[in-house]
Formats: sequence, C-alpha cells, structure tokens
Amino acid sequence: MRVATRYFGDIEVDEGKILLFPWGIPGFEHLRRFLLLEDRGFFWLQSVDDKDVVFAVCDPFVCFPGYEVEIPTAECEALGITKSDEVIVLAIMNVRSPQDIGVNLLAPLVINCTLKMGKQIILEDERYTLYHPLVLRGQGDAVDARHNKED
Amino acid sequence: MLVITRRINESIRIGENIEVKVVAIERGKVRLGVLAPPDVPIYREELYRSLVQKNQEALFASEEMVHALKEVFGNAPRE
Repeated sequence: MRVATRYFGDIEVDEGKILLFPWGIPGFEHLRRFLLLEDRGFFWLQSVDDKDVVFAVCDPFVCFPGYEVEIPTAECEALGITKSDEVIVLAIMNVRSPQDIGVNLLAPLVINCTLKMGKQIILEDERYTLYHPLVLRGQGDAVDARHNKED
Repeated sequence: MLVITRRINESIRIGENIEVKVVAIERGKVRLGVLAPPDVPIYREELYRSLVQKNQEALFASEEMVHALKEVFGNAPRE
C-alpha cells in the first residue's frame, strides 16, 4: 500500500510492516496505525493515516546507557508479550532547539514485534521524567556510542 | 459529575467490568484499587495530561528542528 509520509514523501509499504497501536498514543488516540522508519541513529514513528503526525524516536538504551524498563504485567498482557526478545522499547524525542532535546523516558513506546502491536506506557519509576535532556555530541558519549557501533 | 460516597473497602462499578475500590484513607489521601480489563488504560489524571501535552509538543513542526536532530545524531541532512 502507499503511505504519505512527512519526510520521505509517498512510500510503498508492505502492510505487514504496519504497527497497530490499539489505544492510539495519548493525545492522538484516533490514530492507530504507524510505521517505524529508520533514519541514521534514530527513527521516525509515522502515522499511516495522517502524514503530519510523526514522532522522532530513539533507542533509549543507546541514548541513556543504564536506562531500565520494567513493563508491568498488565501491560505485557495487553500487548500479548510472552518473551522479552520480541519486545522493542523506543522513546519519543522532543526537540525544542538544537541544544535542547528531551527524551521521554517515563513513558516509553513498547512494541511487540511478533504481533506488530504497540502502546505508550507510563512507568512507575521516579528516576525518569517525560523530558530527559539528551546529552549532545561532544558533551558526552551517549550519542557517539551509537555511531561507533554502526561504523 | 456523578458524586458517590463510599467507605473503606467499598467499590463502585463502571460498566460491566471495571471496579474501583477505596482501599485506604489516610491524611488527605485516598488509595484506590482499580480492577479493569488489561486493554483499559489507567492513568493518574495529571500525568496523563502532561503526557498528552508532551506528545503534542514532540510533533515535528519545523525543518530547522529536523535538521537539528539529524545534526545531533551525526547525520547529513537529506536533500
């Protein structure tokens, strides 16, 4: 099927790649179908049904070494998760300015890759916030670590 | 808004399968237990509102921000 995207124009997509967010994403509950598009070092979570709804997302374990997620049992059940290797966890980024990028570590996106189903969950973890400053290149190795891995 | 008085260990039921129970009352705080099917999201109201706001702010509006992001992740800008 063809999908209109914000940054990649119209693209042809295998329907099997579409991720279903049965509860939407808070604030965008009416949108249920998304695509995960890889960029370099991060991803775009693009709505299939509204090209203007697209989130920049990152791998929080790469951007924040030491980040931990404990997915509550009820959420595992809701997402049909049975084993950990079928799960990917992503975090929405909020770019206020080039020097001020926040990552939502408190409410990560949890995706069951087997069922292609996702949900934004809120953790019960006081260490994390909805806007965790991302350490910029040159100021730390958080982002560079990803680079070294890819090169 | 419907207002109902409940005592400790009493519940209200919403629809067929959601039960909200008063578990404890202590110094201005009420602890609630919620029994609901796993597909019903339950949030603390203020946290839900903040999350909605953060998600809306995170929507990409300007090319400048996209450029900033690509720079941070060490990516050359696309054409």
